[in-house]
Amino acid sequence: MVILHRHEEWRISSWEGDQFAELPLEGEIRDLPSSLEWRRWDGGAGDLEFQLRPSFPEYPVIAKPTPALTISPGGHALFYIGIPASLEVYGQCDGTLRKLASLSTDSLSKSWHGDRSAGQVCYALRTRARRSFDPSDWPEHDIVVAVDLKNESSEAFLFDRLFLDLGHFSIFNHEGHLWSNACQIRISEDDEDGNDITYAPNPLDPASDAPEIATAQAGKARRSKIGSAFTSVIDIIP
Amino acid sequence: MAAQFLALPDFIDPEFLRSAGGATVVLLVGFILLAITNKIAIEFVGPRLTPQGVMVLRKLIRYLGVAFVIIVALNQMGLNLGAILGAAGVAGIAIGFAAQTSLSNIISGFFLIGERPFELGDVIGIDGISGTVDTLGLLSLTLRTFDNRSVRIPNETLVKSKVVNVTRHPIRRFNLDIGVGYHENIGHVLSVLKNVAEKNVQCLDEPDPLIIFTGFGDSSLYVLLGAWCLQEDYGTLRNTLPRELKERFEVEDIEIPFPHRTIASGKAFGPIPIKMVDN
Repeated sequence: MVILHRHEEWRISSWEGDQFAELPLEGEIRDLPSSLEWRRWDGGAGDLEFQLRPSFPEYPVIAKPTPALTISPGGHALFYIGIPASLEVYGQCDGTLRKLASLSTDSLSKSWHGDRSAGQVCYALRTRARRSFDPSDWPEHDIVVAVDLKNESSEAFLFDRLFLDLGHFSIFNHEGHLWSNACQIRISEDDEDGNDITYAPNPLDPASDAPEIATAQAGKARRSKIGSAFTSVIDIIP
Repeated sequence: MAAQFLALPDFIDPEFLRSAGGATVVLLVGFILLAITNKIAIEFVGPRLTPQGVMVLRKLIRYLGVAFVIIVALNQMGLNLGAILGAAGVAGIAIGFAAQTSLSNIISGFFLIGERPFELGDVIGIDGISGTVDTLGLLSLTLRTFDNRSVRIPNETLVKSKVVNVTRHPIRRFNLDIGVGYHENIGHVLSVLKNVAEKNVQCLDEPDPLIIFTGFGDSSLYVLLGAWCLQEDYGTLRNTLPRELKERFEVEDIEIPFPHRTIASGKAFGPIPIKMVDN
């Protein structure tokens, strides 16, 4: 991504992959390739301040652990799921910071949570659903979401899909890694009404004291319900 | 002199003038009341109706209201409405025969509003014509085609024909039939299709893409890739998926064969005998 302030306007160019891998981190305008595609916003001559803020993707995610894991009755399992952060670019316009663009740090495929007639758009996420946090094994642009699954049913539970609404998660910064507040999801015998999800105010250790850098988009909540969190409601029709 | 100047000419009947004035007042007040009624009805009932329901309700109030105001105005002018309505009854039969197509369209329009097979803004296809529903009137529907032509379709035709609503549901499947060479490993081809669908950002992860081996063709083995996408992504997916598939087939060296024909002589698949002949 390149951010440029020129002729009283903000210009942002972004691309995917290694197309401009040789571009220096700092440089002159003449160093920029002419093939860059720009988006432009009007700003004043003295409007030079800009901010980059991390955020969750705009849609909920359906995380699919590969391989799936079976949780025994009464047992619980803690997973660390990495969700690629989006980067919100704010630029000063007439003295106030205004959101210019939101750029995803990774291309996520779309998915669908619901049946064929009604539902909501999600992002599909293949995750290793790691059981422990190792900083060296974690991309810096991924937000660490710790999910504790508690199987309160009397049968073993195959965890192969999780619909996660990200609205009540905040973002915290801990030693160069982004964390969200932790959550616990209860798996009960009868989950027709949805599964209970409880949000902790802070991330898990070692980031429990990390400062919050982005507040939850849908506001903070202690508990909520998520419908069909673990099972797709789409039937197979050839 | 002045009194003579102000006096009405003999050929104007003061009684007629009075009733005409009354009728004018009835028309003015009637049309104002009609506009107010229309506005109030749309404001109160409108939120519970679909856009085309609002459109039809507005037209219905307008047409019935105008007819009512005109009848009252004529009554005010002293015309014998009983005789007029009696004549209208006789004329109505004649007009009914003449206007049965229009009546059929109007009744069909009410069926369409009740059944709601499509809404304003939906993309529908009927008798080979596809486009966006622009207006739905008492007599007909106007379809805006993708090359921006306006097509009027009578409501009766809509009731009688098969109408395909393309945008009714939020997600849609794009089916792509592909032929691969007979020497290709079908398992490998199917896994490549799955991988290409997974990597395409418009292709939905759920519902799972449909990937099946569909049969033996004259020149190739046929496979089907049915990729689900959001309605608004359909055009993009239709552009990107075949291109990505072809590029990936080239990388994987999977052949998309041209139709070819094997010429054999007789029963066996041996070479065709060639005989040199001197001229």
